[in-house]
Amino acid sequence: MPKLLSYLSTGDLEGAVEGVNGIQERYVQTYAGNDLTEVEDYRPLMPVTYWSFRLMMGLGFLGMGIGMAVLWRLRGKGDADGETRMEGSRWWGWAAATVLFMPLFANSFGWIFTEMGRQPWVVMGLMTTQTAVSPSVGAGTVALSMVVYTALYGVLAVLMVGLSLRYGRAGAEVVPEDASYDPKGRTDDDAFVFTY
Amino acid sequence: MELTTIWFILIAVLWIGYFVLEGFDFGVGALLPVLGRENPDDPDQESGETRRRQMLSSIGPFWDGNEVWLITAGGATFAAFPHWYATLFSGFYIPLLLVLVALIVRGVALEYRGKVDSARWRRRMDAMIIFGSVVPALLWGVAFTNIVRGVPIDASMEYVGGFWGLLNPVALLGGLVTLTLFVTHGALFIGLKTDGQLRYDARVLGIRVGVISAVLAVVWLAVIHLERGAVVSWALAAVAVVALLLALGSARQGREGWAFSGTFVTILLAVGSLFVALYPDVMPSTLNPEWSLTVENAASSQKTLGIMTVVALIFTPIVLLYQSWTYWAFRRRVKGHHIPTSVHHAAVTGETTGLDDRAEPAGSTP
Repeated sequence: MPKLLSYLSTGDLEGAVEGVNGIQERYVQTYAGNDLTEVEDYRPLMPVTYWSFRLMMGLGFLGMGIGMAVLWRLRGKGDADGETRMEGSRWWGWAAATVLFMPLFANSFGWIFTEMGRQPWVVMGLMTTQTAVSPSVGAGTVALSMVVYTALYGVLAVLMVGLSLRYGRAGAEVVPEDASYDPKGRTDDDAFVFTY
Repeated sequence: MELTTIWFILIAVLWIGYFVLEGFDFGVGALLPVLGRENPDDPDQESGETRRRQMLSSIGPFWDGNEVWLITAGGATFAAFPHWYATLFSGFYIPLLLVLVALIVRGVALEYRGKVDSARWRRRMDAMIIFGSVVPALLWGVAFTNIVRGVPIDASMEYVGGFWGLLNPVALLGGLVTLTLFVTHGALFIGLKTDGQLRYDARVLGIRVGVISAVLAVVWLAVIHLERGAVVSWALAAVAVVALLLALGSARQGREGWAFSGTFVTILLAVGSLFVALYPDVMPSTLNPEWSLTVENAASSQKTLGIMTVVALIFTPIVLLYQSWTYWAFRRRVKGHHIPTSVHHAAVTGETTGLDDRAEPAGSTP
């Protein structure tokens, strides 16, 4: 889109956006010779930024697309038995279920994109990632925490997917409307409780 | 007043808010195996499961809001005193990793516990809640004892004491103090927020643990304030201990509101006394007093502090308002008959994942 990228990158509609190939030489001239900012290569790992950006955008829009298709499919009040167009179709059921995970993956790839794309900087122009590493936390400790969090989130992912499948298969419960419910007629004993 | 002093006070308030609030929900979680069992003397014969669900429902609307205080305390430290944040979070890397894992496990278990109707599932989730409540309750005491008494920090503001250096005897005593104090606080909260035999049992247990806590707290506070205390911090610590004794006395007389307020004030003043003893340092160095982190050398720029002060002045009252509203909305006691027999939907049992030990799947799909 003309002008928009210029504005996003530079804050000026006419600003020039520099390609990644051109920056190496200029950055070496600007930042080499300073302990906080000197690295050999100022370019991020291009395949990671390239693909993670496309996965972020692709999955995000795919999720929105499926979501809208499902909404369209759900229009109307259903047939004489109250059956909607979703019921009886496995494919549509699975499509609706996958939408749940699309924003999660789009978000994750978005994080990978920004964090990998800004390398080697932790603060652009001021401090590189390698100089930002805390001297009192060794590589082993960092690796340990990575393993712990990855394992923990792995287990949580399995639990979450398992629960989603259970609830998906069980289907929605029809909740009868309680005609006798009267919020003003509450007694002291009808506590407002949130049961676990 | 200097902006750095204002932010030191604000961070102290956030930590105090965190401990007085999350303290009781840690205590409730830690007491699950103790109070969450059927009492043979109970005239209502309430099952252990009903008692456990009453306990969890009593903290249900609050625990996650209480955790926000920790996040804001960490966030405020990061923005107002970046060097404090850097030295603390890098130096205490492993203990804080443990705290974080415990809090993740606990939060998930609290929310997932009712999602599958199976005794085995609930037992596992209970174990996770207990682990996730006991570990942070203990480690926060260890961490704060080390912060106030000082740790080895070198000339470039780096912690050089290693993991085991944090587990010194006084710090471990501090861990026991926070654990027993939070358990007492939690027991008195259950006494205030539930009914029946559970309410009575909680009160009795609260008094017992409270006595142990009072003894440990006196020793711990004395050690810390002998090293670093001044008149004000000594006074706060003394009133904290008196408040604890009054709390236990009120619990004996069955005055649950006063009892819980008592432990609330105890935690408030005890943690407050630590921050008073700490000021103007934020992390004293045991190697050389010159190398200590102070409110001056650890602070961020005046401009940052100025912007943050405006933001804090606007948002702190809003947060206080809506959190108070939650406590008001859920002010009633959770009683045994409030607990429905099935939490979510009965259809979610059996076959699919093999997590259940119920003989027959309850096919309640309409």
